[in-house]
Amino acid sequence: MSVPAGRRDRFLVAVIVAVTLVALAAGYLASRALTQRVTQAHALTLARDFTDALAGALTVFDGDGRFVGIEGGERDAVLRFARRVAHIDRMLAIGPDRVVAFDSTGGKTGQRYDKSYIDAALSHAAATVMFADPDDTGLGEDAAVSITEAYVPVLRNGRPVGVFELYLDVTDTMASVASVFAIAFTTFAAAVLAATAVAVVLVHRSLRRRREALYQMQALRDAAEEARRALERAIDQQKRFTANAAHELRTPLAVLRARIDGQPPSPERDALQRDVDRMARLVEQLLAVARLEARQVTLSDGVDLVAVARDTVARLFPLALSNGRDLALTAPDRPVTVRGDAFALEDALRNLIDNALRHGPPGETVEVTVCADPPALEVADRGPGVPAAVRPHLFEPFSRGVDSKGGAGLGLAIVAETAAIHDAVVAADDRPGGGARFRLSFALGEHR
Amino acid sequence: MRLLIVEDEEQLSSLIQGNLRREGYAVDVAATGEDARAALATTRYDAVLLDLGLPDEDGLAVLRDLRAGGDATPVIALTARDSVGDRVRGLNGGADDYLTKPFAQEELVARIAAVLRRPGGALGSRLTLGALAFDTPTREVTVDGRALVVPRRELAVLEALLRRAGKVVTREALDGAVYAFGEETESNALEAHVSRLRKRLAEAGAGVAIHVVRGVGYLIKAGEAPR
Repeated sequence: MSVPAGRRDRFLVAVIVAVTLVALAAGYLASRALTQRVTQAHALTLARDFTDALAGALTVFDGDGRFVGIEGGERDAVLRFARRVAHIDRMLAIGPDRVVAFDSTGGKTGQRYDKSYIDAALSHAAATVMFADPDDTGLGEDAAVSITEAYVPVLRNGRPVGVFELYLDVTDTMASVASVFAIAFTTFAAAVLAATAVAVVLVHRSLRRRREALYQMQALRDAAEEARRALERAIDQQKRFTANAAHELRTPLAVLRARIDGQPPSPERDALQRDVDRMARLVEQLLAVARLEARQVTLSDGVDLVAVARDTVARLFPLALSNGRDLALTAPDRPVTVRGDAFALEDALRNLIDNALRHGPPGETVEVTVCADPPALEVADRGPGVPAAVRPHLFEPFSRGVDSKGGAGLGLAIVAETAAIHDAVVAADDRPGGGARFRLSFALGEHR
Repeated sequence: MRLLIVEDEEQLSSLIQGNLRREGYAVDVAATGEDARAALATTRYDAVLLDLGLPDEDGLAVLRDLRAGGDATPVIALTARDSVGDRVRGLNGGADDYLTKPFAQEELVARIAAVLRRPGGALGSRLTLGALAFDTPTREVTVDGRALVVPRRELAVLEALLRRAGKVVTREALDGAVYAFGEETESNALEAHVSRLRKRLAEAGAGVAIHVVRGVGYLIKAGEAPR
């Protein structure tokens, strides 16, 4: 998926906000419905309670049909009900010729109503209430919320003899409706808002974590870049040092050599020349070690080991000849290629051949061999060989192995460094028939 | 023979100057690239020894400008620098040879002699070694002044070896010298030519030896024949 992180984050926040708004709207509607149901149930309960209380109040008329008020326990029950719910504003008892009003405590108010009011009340009660079923109070569901007054007829022998005019004090009810709504909606809204807040916090935290991860990544990248630059600077310095050291060391040696060469021939002059040559060789080797350790070599594909060996043998043959030794190459007819640095490999091979020429007896032939599979360079001599005891330290700088015939002990260190750079392995063993054999083996040709 | 040494290290240049004068060369010295350009512009030199690390500029720049101006004077680059890339750059930049400091004076003299007798060089005509002399224009070989008859292919081998006396000449190079392009080469023909040439030179008392470098090539050197 290739949605950018920033766009994905903004999308997430928008979804949370939309869900919150929808939830709040749904909560509002649900709270209203709930409130309506609660209010209806409340009104129905009130009406039912009143009807129950009224059932015992039928005795309020005497045998002649005259109203005598609410008597005994029933009267108390009605009054109790009236007090409890405080929703009955007044009660009207209707006699044959008069209407008597009671207050909510059951006491007579003494107020009288004329006949026309009574008739109107009675006809209204008859029209709105079917008294036959006590459960059917006439308080329909739709009316429940808005009822403020009700007329409950009183029948005797199937004839209406009075009416209770019932006032429901809806103030309380409406207040409770409002509070139910408020509580329901507040609770719901609080839950939605809390969920939203949690969601926002979670999203924010994940965003922050991602940002922190990005910062950390950037910091790591910066650190790596800085380290790379420092390394480059160090390598540059090392290269400059090597170049400067080469100049500083070689120039005075060149002066010395020119001065000695200018002297008339003598055994001393020859000795001095050999000394300068040794010093020059040592400087060259030291610089080679420094160069190799600073990895100032360039590996490229297709370096031909046969060409490397042929050039090196050709270059060193005159030296071998002047030392009374022979040097020979055995190589396949076709190129043997490895990934490497031709100059570094020539240098390494030169050091191996130098060693062999120094350690072998006069008149011997130093054999250089190029192997094809796996690619390897081999140099064998007929010298005293390499004792097992010195083999572990043979390739360390300034280790001279068995003796110190003119070498500074750097040659094999150069070979080892060169091998390391080329992923090659250098090893010394005994040559069959006597002498030492050094082998520089490469991994798998150039297709590694 | 007039040579120019371009070298900022004064001791070295004056010592080389002294040594080369004893070899019979007339030697001028320039210490900077600017001096070198001035000397090269006013005087015709037979060869130039050019240090690549000059105080005012890269010696290779002097060399490049010299070659760009159509001047084919042989140049031997001298360097104290270490980078192996320098070796290649020097030779690619138009130098005829390359010497890393420090170097033996006889090596320097040999290299100068070599560049001077290259085709195009002022003295390309006579190659000598031991009692042997090879006159390239006439293709006559003499031993102590006595003429020696050498067949054509052996003569080609001898010339190639003498041009690089003291150095190994590879079989490929000798094959190239002996056989024209497209000519059939027999696998052991070179060995046969060298063997006959050796015998011929030994019998004539030429005082030179042809050494076999097994697997690589041959080398000719003054001295007794080996083995």
